[in-house]
Amino acid sequence: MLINWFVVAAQIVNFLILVLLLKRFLYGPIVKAMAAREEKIASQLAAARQKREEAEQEEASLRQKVRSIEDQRQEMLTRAEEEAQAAKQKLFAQAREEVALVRQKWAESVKWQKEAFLANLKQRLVQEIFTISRRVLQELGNLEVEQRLLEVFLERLRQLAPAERQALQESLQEAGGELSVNTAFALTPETQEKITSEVQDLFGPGVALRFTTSAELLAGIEMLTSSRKIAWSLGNYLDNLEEDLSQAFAEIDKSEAA
Amino acid sequence: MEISLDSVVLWRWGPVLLNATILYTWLVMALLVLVSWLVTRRLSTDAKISKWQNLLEVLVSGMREQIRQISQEEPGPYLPFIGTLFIFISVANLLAVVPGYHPPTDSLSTTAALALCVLVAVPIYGIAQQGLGGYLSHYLKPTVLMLPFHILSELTRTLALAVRLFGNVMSGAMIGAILLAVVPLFFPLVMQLLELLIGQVQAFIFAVLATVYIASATQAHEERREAVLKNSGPENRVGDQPKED
Repeated sequence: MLINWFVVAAQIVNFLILVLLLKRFLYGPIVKAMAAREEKIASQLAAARQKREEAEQEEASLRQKVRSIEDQRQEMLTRAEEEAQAAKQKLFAQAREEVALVRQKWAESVKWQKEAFLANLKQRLVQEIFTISRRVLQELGNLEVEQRLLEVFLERLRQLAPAERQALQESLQEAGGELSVNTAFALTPETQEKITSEVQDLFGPGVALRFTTSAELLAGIEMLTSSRKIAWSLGNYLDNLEEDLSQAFAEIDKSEAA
Repeated sequence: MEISLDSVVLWRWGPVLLNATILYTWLVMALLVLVSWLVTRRLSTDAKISKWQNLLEVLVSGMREQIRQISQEEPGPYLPFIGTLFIFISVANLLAVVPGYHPPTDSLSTTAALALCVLVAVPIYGIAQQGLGGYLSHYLKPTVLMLPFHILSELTRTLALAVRLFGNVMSGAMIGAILLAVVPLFFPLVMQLLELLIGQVQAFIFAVLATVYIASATQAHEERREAVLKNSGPENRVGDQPKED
């Protein structure tokens, strides 16, 4: 007989005991632990999901913030650049104006100095020339020279243009026929007579001559009515020289400016 | 060469005896309980778990999944009974690799005891599920004439359970012994490996058949099955049951 019924009974009991023991020590704890872990993992996943959502929101807000800061920065930069540009332009303009002003002032000052220098020079030159000429003429000057001057003067008088002569004539009549003759040296009576005759030949016999001397003429002679003057003297030459010098200086200035 | 472990009697007092079958059964029981106790006294509910806990969790959750698939019901109430059937038979057969050990399932007494447990468990679960009247009424369906056939069916399938397991395990031991006498080298080793596999398959078959019997006794309604089917997920395969050996 393959089946021993006592053993069967014993094995049934053994099996039932094993069922109870395994239920107590295996299935119960394991199932409980798995359920607990599942719950835990589920809650952790839920927490993680929530955290991720929070983090995403946070990230979005931070991103927004960063973007706004970036925009702000960009705006500030642009504004600063514009301001700097404007300030630069302004400074440049100011500097240009100042430079122009300085240059103008400088040019003016140079011009003024030049003018002053030229005026000074001219004055000095003229003075020197006057001084030298006067000395020379004083040293050389005598009646013969005077005579020669007189002759030249009379020659000029004779060759006077008809229009001028006419004008002089009219002027003489206005002055009541009085004509003053100015010389550097006192004229001899013969010379005075010669001049009187020459003048009377030209303008008629009614003309009265009055002779005076004037050192300013240096050497020469001039004839004056109330409104007209005929003169030939070294003083005139010197005046012309002064004019010529001024003109020459002006030409030099012009060429320099160009 | 003994055919049954039952004949190896260690101690006897009247009808009460202690033989190798009971001893090896106690051994297996002790081992199972000890391992379970050692592992489950420090269970972790964190994400990180020990290897042993992982092993037992895989085992338990696998069994739960199998019960759910086969019975189309929540495995909670069936797990201790069917799970213990599977674990006991499986470990008892697996330990055959240990020299000097003989599986208690080698004894018809043991397999008969397990089959009787199934025989009794089926009406218990059935009555618990749908009441005494509800359960007994299915013996009379479709007609009263079917009653003897139902009872006969209960008895024969219990007998088949017991004999199938006993026959497979015993034949394995027998084949091993015979081959050892005929071809002493290598071939018996291969057959031993095959026996281990057969032992596991038998454990699985025994547990699956017990589940099928219990499930048929509880006669779950179609609606509930569908609900469980939906809950248990798409990987659920109803046609996964192995054919009877």
